[in-house]
Amino acid sequence: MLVADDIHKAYPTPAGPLAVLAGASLRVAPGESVAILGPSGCGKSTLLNILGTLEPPTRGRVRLDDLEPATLAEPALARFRNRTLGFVFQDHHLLLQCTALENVLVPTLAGPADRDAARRGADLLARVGLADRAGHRPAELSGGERQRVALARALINRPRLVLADEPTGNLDETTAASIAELLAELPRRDGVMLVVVTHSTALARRCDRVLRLHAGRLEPAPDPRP
Amino acid sequence: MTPRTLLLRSLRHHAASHVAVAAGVAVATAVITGALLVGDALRQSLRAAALGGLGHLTHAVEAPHWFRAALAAELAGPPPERVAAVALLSGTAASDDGERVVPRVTVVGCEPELADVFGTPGALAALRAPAGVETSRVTVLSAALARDLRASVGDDVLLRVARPATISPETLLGRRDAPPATLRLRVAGFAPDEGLGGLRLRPSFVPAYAAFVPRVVLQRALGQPERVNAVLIAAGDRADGDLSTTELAHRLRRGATLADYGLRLRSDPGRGCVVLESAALLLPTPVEEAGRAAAAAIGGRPIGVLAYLANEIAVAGRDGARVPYSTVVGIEPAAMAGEPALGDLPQPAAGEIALNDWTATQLGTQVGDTVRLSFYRLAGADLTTETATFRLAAVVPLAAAAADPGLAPEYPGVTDTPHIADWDPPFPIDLRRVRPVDEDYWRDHRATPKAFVTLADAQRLWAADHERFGRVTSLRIYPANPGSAMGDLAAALERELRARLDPAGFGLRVEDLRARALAASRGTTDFAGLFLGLSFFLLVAALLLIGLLLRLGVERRAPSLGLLLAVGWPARRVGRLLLAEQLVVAGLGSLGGLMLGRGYAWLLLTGLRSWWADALPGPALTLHDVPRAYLIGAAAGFIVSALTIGLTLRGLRGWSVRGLLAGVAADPPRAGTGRRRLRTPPRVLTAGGVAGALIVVFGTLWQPSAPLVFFVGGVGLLLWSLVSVRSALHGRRAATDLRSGWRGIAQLGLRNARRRPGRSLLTVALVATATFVITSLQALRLPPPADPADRASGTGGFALLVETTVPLVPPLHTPAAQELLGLAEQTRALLARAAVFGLRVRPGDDASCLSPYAPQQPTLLGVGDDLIERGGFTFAASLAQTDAERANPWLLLRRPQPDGAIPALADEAAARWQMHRDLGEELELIDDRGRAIRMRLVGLLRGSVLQGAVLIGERDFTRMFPTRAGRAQFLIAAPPAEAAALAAALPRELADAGATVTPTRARLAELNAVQNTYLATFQALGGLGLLLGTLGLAAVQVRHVWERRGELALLRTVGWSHGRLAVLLLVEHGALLAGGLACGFVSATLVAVPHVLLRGVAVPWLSLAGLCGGVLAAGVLTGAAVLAVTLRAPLVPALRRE
Repeated sequence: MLVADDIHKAYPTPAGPLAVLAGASLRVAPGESVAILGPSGCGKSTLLNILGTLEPPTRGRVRLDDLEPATLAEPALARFRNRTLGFVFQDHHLLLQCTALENVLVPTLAGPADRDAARRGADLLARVGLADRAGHRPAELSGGERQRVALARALINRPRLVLADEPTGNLDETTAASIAELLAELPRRDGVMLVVVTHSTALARRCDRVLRLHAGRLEPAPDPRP
Repeated sequence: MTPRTLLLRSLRHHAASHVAVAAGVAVATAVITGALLVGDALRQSLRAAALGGLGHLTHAVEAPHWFRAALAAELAGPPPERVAAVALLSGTAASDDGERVVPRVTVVGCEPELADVFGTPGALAALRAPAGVETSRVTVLSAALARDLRASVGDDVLLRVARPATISPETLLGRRDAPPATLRLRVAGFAPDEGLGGLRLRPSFVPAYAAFVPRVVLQRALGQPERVNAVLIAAGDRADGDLSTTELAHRLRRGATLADYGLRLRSDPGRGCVVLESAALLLPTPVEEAGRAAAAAIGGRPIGVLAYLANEIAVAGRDGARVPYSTVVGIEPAAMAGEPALGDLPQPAAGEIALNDWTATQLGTQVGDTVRLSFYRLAGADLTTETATFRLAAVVPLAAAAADPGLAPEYPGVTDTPHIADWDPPFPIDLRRVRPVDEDYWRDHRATPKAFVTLADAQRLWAADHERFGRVTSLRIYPANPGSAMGDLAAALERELRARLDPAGFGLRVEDLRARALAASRGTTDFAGLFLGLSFFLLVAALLLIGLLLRLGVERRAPSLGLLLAVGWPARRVGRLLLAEQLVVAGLGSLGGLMLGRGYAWLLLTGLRSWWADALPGPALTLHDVPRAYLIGAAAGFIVSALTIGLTLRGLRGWSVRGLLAGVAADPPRAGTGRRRLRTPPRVLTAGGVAGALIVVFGTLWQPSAPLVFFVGGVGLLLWSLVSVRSALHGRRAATDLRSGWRGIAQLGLRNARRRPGRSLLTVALVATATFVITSLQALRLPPPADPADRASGTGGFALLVETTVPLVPPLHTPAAQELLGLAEQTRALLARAAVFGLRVRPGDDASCLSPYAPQQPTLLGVGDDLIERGGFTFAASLAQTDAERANPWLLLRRPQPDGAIPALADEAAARWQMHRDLGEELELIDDRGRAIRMRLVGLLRGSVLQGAVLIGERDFTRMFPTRAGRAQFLIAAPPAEAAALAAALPRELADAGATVTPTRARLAELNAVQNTYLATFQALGGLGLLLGTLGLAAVQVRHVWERRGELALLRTVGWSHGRLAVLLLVEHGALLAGGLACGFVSATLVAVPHVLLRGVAVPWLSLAGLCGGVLAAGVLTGAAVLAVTLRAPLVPALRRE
């Protein structure tokens, strides 16, 4: 269970602190997917970063399965991120010097040697439809393929929570739909929690719940499903 | 996929940025390796030159007096060809027509076998006399001397050497008028520079001028048959092993006889005693003491005798007969107290005199009368007549002990002449005063004393300089048993005496030539360290460039790094990955830097052979590939680069993951702490800046030439200015609206310069440091004195420095000397109007910065009271305590040190950089008696013409070097026109003395050229660093523009003209350049102002402005090139990126 309580976030500016989040709260159950909508600059990505421990909240707490990652020291926090979280970014952030499979395996390099990783990585690539592209470098892949690789990378360590930040933002409609399909099946198939920040109502529709970030707080959004 | 795979992939993928970093590492490595190679090249060159001048020679015995040539055989033993007894003198050589004169020529009287000993067999075969001919009046010249004399085989040359003075010319009986011996010899061959012609017992880069002469020819010319003054030994590589210095010294002591010390032990059976005498007339006090101890050891009774010549003996207050030119002796009274064997000697008490009956009769005097003695006294150059009176205590018969002519020492030219009229003394005698009866006395009794006084009275009157020369003319040793055989007594005494006499006490020392050469060839300074220091800025620039390029490279990879962190890589692991990558890069870079280092060393050596030749005059520098230099260079280059990389990567730890993922590699603003962090440094650093300024002001006033003050103050100011820049870059931006038009564009450009504060600060720091180094060094340049006649200048107010090969005993300015030297009337008149100060010289190692060799025994100058009282020059520091000493620190040479050390002065530069001593520290030198003498530096002269030597008071000098008579350096103060006339006349008129005349201004310029050349080297290498800085700036510009290509494309899209974009970018980069230039220039100017004002340095504003303009232009041009590329880039892809 992911629990975020009363999350506040403010950034210092010359004119004084700029509040982005003002008491956002969220609960996500295992196997549940949640989409967060909101206009640009409302703090969606900030909330996702806080959930993903990439930055701390100004106030409030985040717990995952009764563990509060904010209490962890840097090495433990990194281990937590590595073993428990999976990230999918709008920009895929693939390592250009590595092949698709190697990119999938990058998170496994953060921990002890994992002999099974290569097989898992190949399976994941197959799952996202890129079995025949495993040896290709990012420059040789299309945008959609890159994002699939990024998705496979997010899953390599069997995370409890997958956080996706505008995963289809840079993709055309068809490709976006296929990525959305892959994402949507994650909770059902793997039992992971999925939080997606998106502008895409098509993607949001595939999630179990849709929330809207408004004035720094999360509130239920009108059901985008037709 | 393993971390290693990722590492290798990253290395390959980011090869371009790695190559840039590796290039920086290569430069750093090259700088270190190059400096080490230059250091090794210098050391090797110095060593090769020093050892080359010795050939196979390993040791030498050089004495200030002459000794038996046979002593040489006692030293090395078999095989005999390993030792050469030689006459070694400094003289002058002249072409037959006298047109060309070369001073300071080493004249070597030797057998042809010297060439074998030296290791160039046959090189002196031309000296061998043809069969049936006793000697051959030929010479073999060193190639350098032959070149300067333009002599060919078959030409005649003239060699002039000073005649050795057995009796010091600075005593009454010493010859002051002996002209140098002149030898006309036919050139029979040449000795090449690389062989015997390069013979140098003391390492030096002065051309080796040597003339090899048949030994017997030189010995005869000098009146020293079968005697030599040096032994050259090749004691290495012997079949029976190398001979150690200790072993040689032992052999020397064992083999040396009294004759080798200039002593004579004479049996006088008639008087029942053995007499110890010296060829120098006076027995040196250590010898006298050894004689007394030896006498005591065999139970003998020593009696000291001091004989002197009275010009006249008369009865005071009575006109009447006067007895001229009589020997008066002082006899040790203790010996006369009831000693039966001596009972027939007169026994006057203190203040009393005894006359022999012949003299008493001549004077018509009787006991109780007052007897007046008049006699000569040599006080410096002045011969004065003085008198002393005594009460006549006794008249003794001219018989028995009182009739002993042996009481007076033998004096060639006087005691061996049949008549007084035949005397040839070195002082005037008035033969009109010599009566027939006086001649009769001389005929019958020769130098038999006519008067007797106590030894104490005699010493008070005639042995005032006893510390230098001695206080008795003979020591008479009477056996305990009057019936002893004199032969046995003499043998026993000689044995005891030799056991007590150390050859070193007579200057007979075995010198380990190789050890001396090797010690000297270590150089005055660590040349590798020196050139590393000179290249310091280049190294710093390379390291800053490494940091800058690394930072840029890492920034380019921000999203990848952010991803690694986001997926759970610990920051430390990411850091380790980067570090491992960069260490591989550093390793490759440092290996590449080795070849670059060789090139850098070659460049430096080429510079030292050409543009910077003034810095190291002499050594023939060649590059040696010393593996050690490469190993250390690679390791050091790798280590400093790795440290720089580590520090740079450490600085990246604060980057946020979110920012990295967004491609923004910068610290996020920190709530709460940000403002405080940005405000604090300026406050602290302002205090630091003020402190730096105060250090500069007070430090400069206190010690204007202290480099530490200069650099601590200067670097403090520079740091302060850079932190101010940092503060301005990080600080709160003023809330001003952008103006319209060009001004607004400029405003935007300035804002953009602050977008990457860390990067901008590095750029400013690079340019500022280079500008600081280049500008501030200008202030340390030594200008020629504005007014050489100024006593406070480096010339001391003197116009000329005259150096003679042969010391002049009567000082140059005295009429006696001028008469003796045969100076022209006009020259005498010029000298009479000039102020001339003579300095005694103990030749030694050149301690000036003109010699790269470490001075082991620096040249010593003895300063007379006249110069001490005149003062002059400027002191950088002194131990002056009284107002008088502060006004004239030369007076410190007269203040005895509480611990017995001898007060000494030296030039500041020579003391600090050549001898590595500071004010108050001590030097140890060996005197002529082999004693180690401590000298304390009580004053340091600033930038003086006296840089090559250590100066001590004349009294201390003569005490340490009693046998060195005369002065060989003269400082002459004269108006410019008269100085020029003297400079033209003196070398010609003093050719016999081997005089060279150097205008002090030229000498100072020669000395200053060394420091100025080092500064120029530093500046040139600083310029290279500046070039690197400009490259760094270009890298920053490229990166900056690349990062903002979308923004710039947008500006183009919305209608900005190329001109406006150009202004925007040029303002950005120009601001950084101008900031760097301003920081460096202002800091350097502030620190330099006191020096400029105090030293009168002419600041080359034009070249400095040109330098700053060049830096600015280079930066602007680079910016323009980058801009041109940017503007040519396609618009749409750039926009998409944004």
